Amino acid sequence: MSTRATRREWPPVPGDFEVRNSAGSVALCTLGKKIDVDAEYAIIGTCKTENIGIERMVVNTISNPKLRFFVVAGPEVPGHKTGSSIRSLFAGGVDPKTRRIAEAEGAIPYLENVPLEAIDRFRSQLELIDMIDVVDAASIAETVGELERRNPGPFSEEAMWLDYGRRAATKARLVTQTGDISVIPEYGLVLDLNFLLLHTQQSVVVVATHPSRTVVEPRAVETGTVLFVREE
Amino acid sequence: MFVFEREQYIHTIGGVRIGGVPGETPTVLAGTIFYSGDKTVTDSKRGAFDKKAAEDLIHRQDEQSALTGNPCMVQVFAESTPAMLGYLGFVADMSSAPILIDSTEAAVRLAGLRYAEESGFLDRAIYNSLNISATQDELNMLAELRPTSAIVLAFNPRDSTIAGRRAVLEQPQLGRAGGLLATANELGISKPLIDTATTAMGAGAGSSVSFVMVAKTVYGQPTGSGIHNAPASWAWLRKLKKTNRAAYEACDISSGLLIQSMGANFILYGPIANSDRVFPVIAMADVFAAESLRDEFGVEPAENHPFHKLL
Repeated sequence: MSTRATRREWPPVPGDFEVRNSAGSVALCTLGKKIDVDAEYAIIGTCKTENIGIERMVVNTISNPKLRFFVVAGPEVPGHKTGSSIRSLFAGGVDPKTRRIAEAEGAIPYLENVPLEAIDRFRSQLELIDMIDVVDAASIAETVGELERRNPGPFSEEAMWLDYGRRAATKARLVTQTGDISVIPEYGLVLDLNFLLLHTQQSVVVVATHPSRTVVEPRAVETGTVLFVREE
Repeated sequence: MFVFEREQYIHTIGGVRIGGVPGETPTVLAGTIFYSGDKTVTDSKRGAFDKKAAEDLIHRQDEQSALTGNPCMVQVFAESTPAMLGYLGFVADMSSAPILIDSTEAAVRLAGLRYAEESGFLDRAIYNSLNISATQDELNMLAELRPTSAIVLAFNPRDSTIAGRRAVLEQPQLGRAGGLLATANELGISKPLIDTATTAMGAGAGSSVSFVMVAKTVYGQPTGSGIHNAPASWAWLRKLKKTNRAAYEACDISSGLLIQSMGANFILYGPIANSDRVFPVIAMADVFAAESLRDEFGVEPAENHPFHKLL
């Protein structure tokens, strides 16, 4: 799942963020609210959910080793508790089996789609600056300025790139094979070689294939023609 | 449009019939009130809000429901227990519609459910939601309170495909004996509403739509989702919104059609203030579905269906 490469475009995962100075050392997350911060941060963005939202943030930060500080500011996201979940992530990582963020208070704080090594990298590369519930843009800007002044330089390892959200297409390829012999193609009449029976070939629309096939089949009934949905 | 081989259950919750095949019963629409960012709320911790504005919003949804024939529900979101109790008392007085009790904190949801029981409207309360993060304490409380209806959320943080969503509903998860549907059944939730769990575009939104059809095929239970959350969190659209708000609203409102065309029985359409735009769109699609079902399959739409009210 993870790859290391040099020729990629940063940040790799789209989202509700803006890049200001990609050489900067500060990533600024303002949780559920956009805050206009006048400072030389590298990237600023919102993060509302304690699972996929955090995952995307992890992917976008570990792919830039220049980022060394992770400022979490803005109002805590009700229920999701995204801010405190990030705090918990830094403090204890995730349970390797359940992938639950240790001690997180959020509703569904599971990081399932990033490898453990990426989470370890996130926690090693970045220092958490906890400003949860601070909404004053000037205070945040001042902190960002201070952090930039004590920038320790790039992380010792190269960028870590993840193929996040891109599922291999091989599973999705649909190949339908039958051993039937077409007898009268105009009427869809085929010979089933397994049972040596003539029958009308049915075309179906496949909705899902795993763990079972769900198909939509045009079917003529007494009153008309209906699309019949069934599980095979 | 289409029919399912499997029997489709229709539940009656607070007088509202929900479930069935497209065109048979009208799509039930739930608007959310008191959500984070709702302008009617002045103090989300204490539950202070503009009562006149909230009353207008609830009544406007009721009017849209009466106009189109699409039944409505009110989804009440609260951050704290005091807020939840205040909101529920108000909404229960204002409307006879079913009420979804929603909070991301289990303790707040459970407090709301207990309040519904004590105040005599548990029969129209829908617990939102039973999901993969339920703790044993939460399950114990649900077993005690015994709501008959709950949203069963097919959110699988590990796998957003249809198979992953099915796994959450069907297979033992996180040390529990059964999937969420079996758990719901054990708790006495006889009217489960399956929420296919809308995930962000690029993170499984497509499967969340397809899963509507699959879930109805496999389980036969009323199914729907809060599909509007997908366009609402779409970064490209959010940027476009700054210069083209109409485009954003068009995507937000019309997103319900995606799951409706897959057979959804209910749509959590987002802010209740959007009711006057959502109801006509969904009613329109219901008319198409009903006409197809009647002409091709001989099933007459329900009496108050948009097909009868609006044609």
